[in-house]
Amino acid sequence: MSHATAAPRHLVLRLFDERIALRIPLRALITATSLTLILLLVMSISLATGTYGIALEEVWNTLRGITISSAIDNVVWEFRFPRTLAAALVGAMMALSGATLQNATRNGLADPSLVGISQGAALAVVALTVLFPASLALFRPWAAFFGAIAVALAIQGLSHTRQGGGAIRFILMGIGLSAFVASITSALLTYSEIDRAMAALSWLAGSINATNWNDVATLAGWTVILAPILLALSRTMSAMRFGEGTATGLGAPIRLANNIQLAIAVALAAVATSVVGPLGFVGLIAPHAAKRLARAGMGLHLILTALWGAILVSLADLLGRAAFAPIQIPAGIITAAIGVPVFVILLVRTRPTQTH
Amino acid sequence: MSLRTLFALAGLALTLAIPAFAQETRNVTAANGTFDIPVAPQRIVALNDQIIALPLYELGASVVGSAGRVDAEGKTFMRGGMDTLGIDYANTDIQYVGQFNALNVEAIAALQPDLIIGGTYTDLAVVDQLQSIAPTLVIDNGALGLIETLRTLADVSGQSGNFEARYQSYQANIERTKSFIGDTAAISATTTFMFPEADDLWVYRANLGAITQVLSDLGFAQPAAVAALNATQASWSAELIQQLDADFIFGFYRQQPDATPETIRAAYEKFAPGWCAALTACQNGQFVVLPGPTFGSTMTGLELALELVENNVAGRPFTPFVEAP
Repeated sequence: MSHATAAPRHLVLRLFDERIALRIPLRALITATSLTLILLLVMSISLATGTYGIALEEVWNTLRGITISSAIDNVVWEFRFPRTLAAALVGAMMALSGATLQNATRNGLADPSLVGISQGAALAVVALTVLFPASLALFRPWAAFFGAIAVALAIQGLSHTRQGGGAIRFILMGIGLSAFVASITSALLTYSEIDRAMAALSWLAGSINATNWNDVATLAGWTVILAPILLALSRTMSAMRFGEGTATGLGAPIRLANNIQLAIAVALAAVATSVVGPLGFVGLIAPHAAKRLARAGMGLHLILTALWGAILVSLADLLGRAAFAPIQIPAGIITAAIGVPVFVILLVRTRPTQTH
Repeated sequence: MSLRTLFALAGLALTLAIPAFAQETRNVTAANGTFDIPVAPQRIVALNDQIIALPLYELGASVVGSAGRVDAEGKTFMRGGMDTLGIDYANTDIQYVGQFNALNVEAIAALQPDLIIGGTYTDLAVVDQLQSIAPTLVIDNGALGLIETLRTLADVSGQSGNFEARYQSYQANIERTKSFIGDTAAISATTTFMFPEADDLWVYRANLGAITQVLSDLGFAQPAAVAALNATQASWSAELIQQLDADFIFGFYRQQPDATPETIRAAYEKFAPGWCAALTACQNGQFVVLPGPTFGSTMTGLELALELVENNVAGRPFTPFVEAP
């Protein structure tokens, strides 16, 4: 391996006799490192923060396997640690889903909650909770997953024409179908037994507080499967940034790449939503925040986006349980509170460029 | 053996016996399975204030934590606590452990409970987590109804004796009220619930806490449209308001600035303008708004609801409802 600085602002890596050569913007590299450190810091604070009074040293010793008390062991290992990891993983997954959707649709406003994925998951979980209250909690993630996939497939199918699936058509179909699905969910909540509705509402708030090691394994497993596929696809995704015509001219397999991107975006959001409920706007904010911090190629942009998403949800979870303690605010409410103003700003900013 | 030695040995035996007694457990079956719980739990956490914490507290159970609500100023409170029993977090040793749909699992763990009680409204994933702290029972109050819910809560908290004594007194009072009224089946009553925002009118066939229990125990009839409801409650259309007419129509106010008797009456009018003119019960002064505890889930609520119904129905003359030909 050899490396040299090609230009003041880039680092060039040549691996395996130049079979792999990477030209990495230094600013993006520094940003990625900084974001990683920030994420680790937020996760550390999260591990050390909670209503159960545990000193930092005790948390550290517990993580090293030293038992201080079985209660502390339980709190750190069964509550705080999986919750901290789940928050970061969910954030990264939702962010990657958003970035992928934005690239596939070439629309900076695309987000899992805007194209029906979250609403599909929500409908399935609410229906399960309200109509089959005796069903086990075990089925809930599966219901959410298949609900999200079903709505996403419906949107994809309905927006597909003989000429192919237009990006705007996909977005509009997503918004329309989302509203339809959300109205059914509202009807179920309104006319069901009140305690069933309340049980469903707690999931709909998008909370990470009940995550366990099984959830962490599910999230980590799917991330390990799906994220590398996205990274492998990043060159084609880069070409698609310039539009279908240019990308085709560059030899990129547009239709295949688009289908893979949509499938991965849906799968990432569906898995994340199935575990913690709908977390609005993470997929919208994170890609834009990453873009504004550092311009980078698609691969590094995806990494920056995932880091941003992980930080955002970790921070939302931390703020939600610590800022107004003992009152607990679900992370979904905090991400939405941040996301709505950002969404409006983005809409206002993109308006002039879309006028014809 | 000296007297001092004897006392010391007795003290030691007692010290050893107390933990043994405290750890004595028994099997109970709840909506979420069968669990080993302490025979006499000493540290109970309730995952709902109105439905679980208040009845447990009034029966004498040792409640150390409860889910609650947050008011507009960010202050935590137990719904119905002050109105019904005069209790809240500030004047008891009960600790706030989050809202029913945003529970603070660590706060519950910090209380070191020996029994946790929730309902079918509790997030099942949280229930699973809480099992690692203490046995966590899910009580299906909707399926059990008020009396059986109270009996179950009394049973699992070791307070069955208190409950049965109070319930016996309540039943005696029901018989007394029936004797005052006479043929209770000839009297009809509708139970409605209106929020101050006036966006929905809910009508209850059953399961609105103490009031529907009292009306049912007294043997009152319901208007045909209400009795025919499949569900226990329904959101009612303003256009069908006349179907609710009966000898008595009950509504509810709460001891809160936004839900006073006046604001609640105004909300009915806002929801269905001319509502009072459309209902003979209202025209005859037999639309009665009752205080919040009467739709709560406590023995105190039952006793209060019974007294107020007795007072309004037997304690004064009223004009019977005559269905229009």
